[in-house]
Amino acid sequence: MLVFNLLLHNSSTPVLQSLRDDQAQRSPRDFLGSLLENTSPVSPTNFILRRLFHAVPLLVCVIVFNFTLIHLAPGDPIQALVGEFPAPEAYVAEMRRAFGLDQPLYVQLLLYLKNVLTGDLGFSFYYRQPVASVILDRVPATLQLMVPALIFSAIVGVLLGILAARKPYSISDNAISAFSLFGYCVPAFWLGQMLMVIFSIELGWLPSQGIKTVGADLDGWSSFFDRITHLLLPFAALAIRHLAVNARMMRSSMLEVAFEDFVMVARAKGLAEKDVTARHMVPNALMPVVTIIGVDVSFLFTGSVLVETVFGWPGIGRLMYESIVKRDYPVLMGNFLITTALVVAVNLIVDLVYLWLDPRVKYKK
Amino acid sequence: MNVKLRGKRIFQQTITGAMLFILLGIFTDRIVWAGPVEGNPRRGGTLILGMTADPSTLNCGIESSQIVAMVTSSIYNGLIHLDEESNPHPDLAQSWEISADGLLYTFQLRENVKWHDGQPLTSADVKFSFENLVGKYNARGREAYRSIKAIETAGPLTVKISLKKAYSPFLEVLTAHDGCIMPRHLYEGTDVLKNPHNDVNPVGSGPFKFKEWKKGSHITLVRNENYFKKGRPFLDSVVYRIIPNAATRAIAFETGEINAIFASNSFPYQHVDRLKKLRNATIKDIGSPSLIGLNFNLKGNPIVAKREVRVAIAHAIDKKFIVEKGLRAVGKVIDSVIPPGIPWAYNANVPKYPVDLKKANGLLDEAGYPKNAAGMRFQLRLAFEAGNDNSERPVQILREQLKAAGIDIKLERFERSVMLEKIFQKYDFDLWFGPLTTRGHPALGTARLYTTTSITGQPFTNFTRYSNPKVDQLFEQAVTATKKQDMVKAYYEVQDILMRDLPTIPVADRLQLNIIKDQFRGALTSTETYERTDEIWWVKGAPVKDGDFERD
Repeated sequence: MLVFNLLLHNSSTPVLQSLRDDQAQRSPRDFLGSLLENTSPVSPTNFILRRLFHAVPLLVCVIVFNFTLIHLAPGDPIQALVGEFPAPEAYVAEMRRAFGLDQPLYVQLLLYLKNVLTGDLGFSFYYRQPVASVILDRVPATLQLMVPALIFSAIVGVLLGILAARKPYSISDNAISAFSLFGYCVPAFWLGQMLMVIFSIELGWLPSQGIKTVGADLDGWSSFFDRITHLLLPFAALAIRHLAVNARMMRSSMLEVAFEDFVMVARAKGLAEKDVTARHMVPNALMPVVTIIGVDVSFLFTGSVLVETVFGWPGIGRLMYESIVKRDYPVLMGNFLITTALVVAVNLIVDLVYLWLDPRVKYKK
Repeated sequence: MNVKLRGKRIFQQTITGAMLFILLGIFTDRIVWAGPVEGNPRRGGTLILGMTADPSTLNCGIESSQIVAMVTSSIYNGLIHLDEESNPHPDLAQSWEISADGLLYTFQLRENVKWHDGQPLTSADVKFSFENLVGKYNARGREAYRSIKAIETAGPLTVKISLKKAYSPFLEVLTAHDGCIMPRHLYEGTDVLKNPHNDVNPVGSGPFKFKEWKKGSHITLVRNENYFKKGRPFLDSVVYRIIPNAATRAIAFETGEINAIFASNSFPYQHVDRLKKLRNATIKDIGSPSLIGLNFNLKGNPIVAKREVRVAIAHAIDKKFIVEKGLRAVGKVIDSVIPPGIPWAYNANVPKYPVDLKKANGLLDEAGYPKNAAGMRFQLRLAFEAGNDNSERPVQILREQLKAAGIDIKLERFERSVMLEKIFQKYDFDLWFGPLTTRGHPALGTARLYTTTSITGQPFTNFTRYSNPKVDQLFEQAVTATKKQDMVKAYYEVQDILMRDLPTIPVADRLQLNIIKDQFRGALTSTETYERTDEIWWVKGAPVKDGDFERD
């Protein structure tokens, strides 16, 4: 997965790559300054088209790389499927033939590429149904969990970061920093289990797992509240981590901007502190946070493997975990492909958001 | 204090106490204990079972894994079912006859059995299922189905199955797990592997009808009002809740989100100590017997190919310690490859290897493996399945115990699908530790591990590659015996030889634990790997009178 992520995040054009590298090492203003030097700007439309064009070879590379990597891993999907007892040889052979596993690897790859081009993501070994329908079946559950968690963590994380940076090393700053450190360090799956012990077992307030109560015919508001109660614990486990990262990033970015000339000028003009913060500091400090939130959003549709598994949440993250265990290659490949496409798309959107946040940003040819 | 005031206070305290009790009862499932409810079953309620994963299909004719049978056994029926001692009882077959030579089985089917779509179930469905589905695809019962010579239908309700040779455990594979009867009218002439009824709307004859399968979340079955057993099932519905994480499954049981966890692959063994303390639930060890042991690659490693090395290892292992600390005392120490869970075949008088480190070291010295300066003789790879609680802890103990005998153990932890390939297909291991299901008859679960013809490179066949013509002959004698004493004699002798040759060091008889809330009764009555849901009832349901339901 690490290799996979590296590949994805190395996917942008060289200019945008340097944009991210710069962010890591230099202040936003420095990097913007360097970007403005010697530029020959292109229109946003051209920029989008170029980026989309570049995405095609990238997607093919990702497919070839992942396909090879998955098939090189030990483990036979048919044996994983037929289970604990020795299946009749004819049946095993029939299954291999039915799923095309009797073909040489390069033939399987070419077939897969051809199918993907026609919009066919393949046929799941384990669920014995088209991959697209297996994945689409899980999308609503993942969105139901991820969208609120990401929105909440983005808004509250940014607000906490601003609050912490307003009075550095004050009690509120220390409290927010301690909370952020905790949220960042604690693994989500462990936090999830601790939340379950407290809120499900000890207090008995919330259900421990699942997306809704099964075996009860609920409708209308009762169904809505039932879903909300099921959502709260996985939401908290997921949101706390994202929130912590966003708060830390926003705080450090705000502190960096606080000593910039334009902030001093704004104060010298006699602007109220809240206006200095809201109109001058926050928009400039937001850029690195937008990058981080962009990365989070790119994994929106792929869900959280650990949180979904711990909470029995029937989303895409868990589907990915299950497809690895079952060696369900087509589902795994489908998941990777969708993730890649999303990362490319979200990176593009993030770059466009930069334009919106700061009109000085221009993209070089 | 005046009497009036005291009376008022007692009244207030009583009311407060009663209210507290009611509130606790509402909010704390642990305190609502059903108590003993005797008498007739009751009607109503929903049983929610915890499972580890979605089944791959709902077609039990092509897939025999336990997780599939857990669900399909409520939708479909077999000809028979097994009781607590593995004795056969009528299910779709109301009676049967076995010829004296054990070659002809004649089954008389029940009248008026209907499929869920209203079509009648006849002998043609039975013939079709055995010839085109279970007989062709079933992995667990394939030895039994291979012995079938012909299947004839003598009228709509009579089926005659003739065998090529007598096969003593034949009836055992005719349950809803290995011998589920499928509707011919929906499968004939179709690609059975891709038939839509495999996943959507399976049409069975069983106590519950399919309602919904939300992948990754749950499967819901509802009562079949036209079930052939009068007044059954008692429950309104059965829901299979999919919870992959063992800790979450245990918590969901504690909080009452699920009511039961059946079968070995679903029971969260790591949490057994905590679950044992619950007051409102019953844990019962019933189901397929199994064996946990240390297995040797006899053809792959010249060191363990030597019998004296295997004997030395057997003397170096403290099985009692492994069971108590490694397996959380779930299971018993055993000395034979046929576990005591099959009492009629278990031989307690096999050669034994008590813990004796001095003897172990002496044997290894004699075998030509002296200790080096570091106190070690040789290194062996010990493979096991990652995440399997039956293996993870015991292998750590084994490593320390064998270190004392100068054997350097390198642990190799494999994810299940990798393990299946490396151990059973490629034989790339020195030692393998793990559980093996033996089922209720040695011909089904034990012979596949030690006969020469079972060296097939398939999962859970003879992966130690042990080969002994005498053992082959004895297993054959046992399976074709028509008298039980001949069968028992052969199995006793097999165990004696195997425990001398030691392809496996049996460590424990793993119990298949099941847990169910006391609010549900009638469960856990069979050695089968699935649960017979047409027997389960809920204590809070409506009473059912005598005569309004069929007794089993």
